[in-house]
Amino acid sequence: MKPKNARALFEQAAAGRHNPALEGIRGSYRFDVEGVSSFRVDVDNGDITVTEGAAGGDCIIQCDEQDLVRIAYGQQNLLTAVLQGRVRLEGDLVLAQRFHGILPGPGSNARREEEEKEEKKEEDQQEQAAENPDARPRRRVA
Amino acid sequence: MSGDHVSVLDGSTFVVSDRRGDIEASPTDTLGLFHRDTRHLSRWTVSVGGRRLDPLSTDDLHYFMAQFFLVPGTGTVYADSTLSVVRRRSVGDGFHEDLTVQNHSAEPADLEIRIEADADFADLFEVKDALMKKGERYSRIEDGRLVLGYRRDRFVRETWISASQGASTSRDVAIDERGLVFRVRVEPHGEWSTCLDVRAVIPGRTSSRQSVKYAHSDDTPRPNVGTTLEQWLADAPQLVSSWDELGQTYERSLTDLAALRFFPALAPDQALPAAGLPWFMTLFGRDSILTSFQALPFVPELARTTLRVLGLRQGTRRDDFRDEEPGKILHEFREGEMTAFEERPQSPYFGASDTTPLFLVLLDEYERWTGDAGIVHELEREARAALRWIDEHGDRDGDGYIEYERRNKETGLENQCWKDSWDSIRFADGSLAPLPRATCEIQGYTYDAKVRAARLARLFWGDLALSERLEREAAALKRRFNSDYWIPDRAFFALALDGEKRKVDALTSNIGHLLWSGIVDDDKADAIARHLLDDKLFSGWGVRTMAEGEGGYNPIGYHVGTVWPHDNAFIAMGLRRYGYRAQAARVAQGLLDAAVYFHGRLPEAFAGYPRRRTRYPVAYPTACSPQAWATGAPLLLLRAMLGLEPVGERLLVDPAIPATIERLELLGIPGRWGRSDAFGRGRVELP
Repeated sequence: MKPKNARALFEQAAAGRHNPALEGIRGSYRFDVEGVSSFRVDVDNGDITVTEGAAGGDCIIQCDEQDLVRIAYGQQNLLTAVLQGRVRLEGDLVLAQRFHGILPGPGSNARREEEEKEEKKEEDQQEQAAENPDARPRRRVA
Repeated sequence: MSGDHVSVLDGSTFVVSDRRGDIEASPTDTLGLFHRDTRHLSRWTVSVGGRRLDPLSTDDLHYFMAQFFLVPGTGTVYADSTLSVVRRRSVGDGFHEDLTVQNHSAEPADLEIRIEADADFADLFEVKDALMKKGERYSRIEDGRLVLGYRRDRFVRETWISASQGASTSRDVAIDERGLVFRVRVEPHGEWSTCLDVRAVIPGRTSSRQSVKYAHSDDTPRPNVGTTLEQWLADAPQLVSSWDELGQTYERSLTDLAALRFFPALAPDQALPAAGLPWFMTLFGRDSILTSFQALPFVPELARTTLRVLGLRQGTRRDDFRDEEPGKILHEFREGEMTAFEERPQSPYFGASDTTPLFLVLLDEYERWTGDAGIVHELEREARAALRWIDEHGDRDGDGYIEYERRNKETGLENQCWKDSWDSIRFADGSLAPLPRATCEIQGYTYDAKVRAARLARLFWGDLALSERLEREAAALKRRFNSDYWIPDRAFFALALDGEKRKVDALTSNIGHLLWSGIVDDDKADAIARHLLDDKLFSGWGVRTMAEGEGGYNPIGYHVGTVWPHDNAFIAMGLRRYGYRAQAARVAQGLLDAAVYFHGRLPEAFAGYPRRRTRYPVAYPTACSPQAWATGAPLLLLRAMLGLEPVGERLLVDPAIPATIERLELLGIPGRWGRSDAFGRGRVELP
């Protein structure tokens, strides 16, 4: 079931508790979701705790609810959201890099691997896909 | 860059102007102030009394600073100007410019000095393709500064321009939306000056600095970073040689490498090499890895940052737009508007099939040089993911070789090897090889990566089973490769296997990388070394990317006949690895001779014309310069000539130096041994 709002997303994250994809990571994220609330997610070697309204956080992510849900579901890339000015990042950018994996949805690494196996199956069936011969890449020359 | 342009740079911020210091950019050239892949100024001109200025001379004082000596144009050579203008520019998060006007006459001069400014906020990709902007430009005047801006949804970029008073005798500045106008009186034999600050601003993005980093007489680059240029040069080994020009090439390389340092957001106080000016001032997987490898005996810390940052940005999922897969190491990272709105895939883009094995190669080589076991532990997870990528994703059809074919058919790269122009992988008859393509050097890198990862697994990760498995796989790969890629009647390795597993039979420089990787059977190495030094491949200056006589050969074709310095440096290392000392020395000598004609700065590539015909190396028209791995090439050539190899806790020195270089010493080579010296004499007669 896909949570469609921020609170449900964080509730599901808390219920998940341990994500093997986050092993080796220690730190805290704070999500300031505009017009909703702020949520702190502490990660300790894969174990996740979620606290609503807590201050602090090594990595602070500020965005609106719609973008958060879109990012969690892989419909919006976190980095391009930052470049577009839709998401503000502060603090530990290294932690931000591991963002995919703390929220449920196909953003988590474990799920992505699963999803990918599915895709690979499909792809094997469509291997002889037609190609566009005109589409040439940008050359690395001026 | 053209000789008519003057560049100053600092990481991904750079200013390219004409020799007057002026910027008048057309939509398709790279004049301008660029910051994080966006052009923040497309016009920046100075006129005095309505007249534009003529250059007397231009000094590139440092890579981050330039000075322009100018006079107002008189329209005739017979009239002396009584005014001089000096512009001194240093780059930061924008730039700072000191503007001084001197009056040499006995009369006071009442002058109108006009600075025109405009910004098109073009993405670097748009500059190349002359695309239209989708958002809106605006400008406003606030707090004594002119703000030029651009907005598309919530994507906002601004340029803030302001003037502060220097030692002036009178002043009246007016700011309007076209720029700044000063109405000043300069007394007889007096001078007037002001300071102009231009800041590239991304609203909402935290900046570590509140103003541009350089101010008056501040010659120290990046005070917030720690390593000044002087310190950087002082920390590098000292070169002593009987060949003066070699010393100049060495110093140029070190200085350019400092200039190309890029301080990534993920490690803001650590540097890694960006790929090149002007098009590639960003993180590239392949370029950053290979340049860091070249620089290991000189500035090993570049490799550490490269490994860390590439590890952090390692692929985690299947994303076809970005050609991303779990465990894959990225190709290119950009921050401009087209990337932000996913009109281009560089956020980051993963379309490179060699970066992942090369990441493992660099990790091992870095430990061998520095003894920094910490990073091998720190990156164990990433290294294991890279190994899994090789087997599960790199090898798409399970034939034991890494092959590539882009999934992003619109803006992805067709060739995902270092020769990444669309027409580089051709048969001997010139026809293009069908996809997917498994180029030979990637198989070599994979072999090397597995051998090296086996060492890391055994010594650091305590995983003997993995170590033994990798060694078995490497040995099997080598066995199969020497049979599947070998072309017996021409006695070299195919450039690639194509989509139908046919050998792509053009003779190319790629075979030299195979020697570097160690995948070549000993009984085939002689033939490879002979080809590399034969007239068809070797131009006299270096090994061509493709041999003369092949159907696709073009001496000024980007990857099908030009000579690439970095390519040659790795080939020289390969020749040394297999014991071809004289041949390695020959390649090194050719390249270092060419460097002299380029004033010590080897370009990305130069033409493949035979040396005996042109007498000097012919520049390739659009080559990037300085380019990181061309900058690193002389460094790796020094390593090849001196035969520098870490063995256990010591540095092994085994010189094979051309007889034309009487004496070559490299003093204070940093590594796990502390500092060590290498001495050599030119005893190798060239073939």
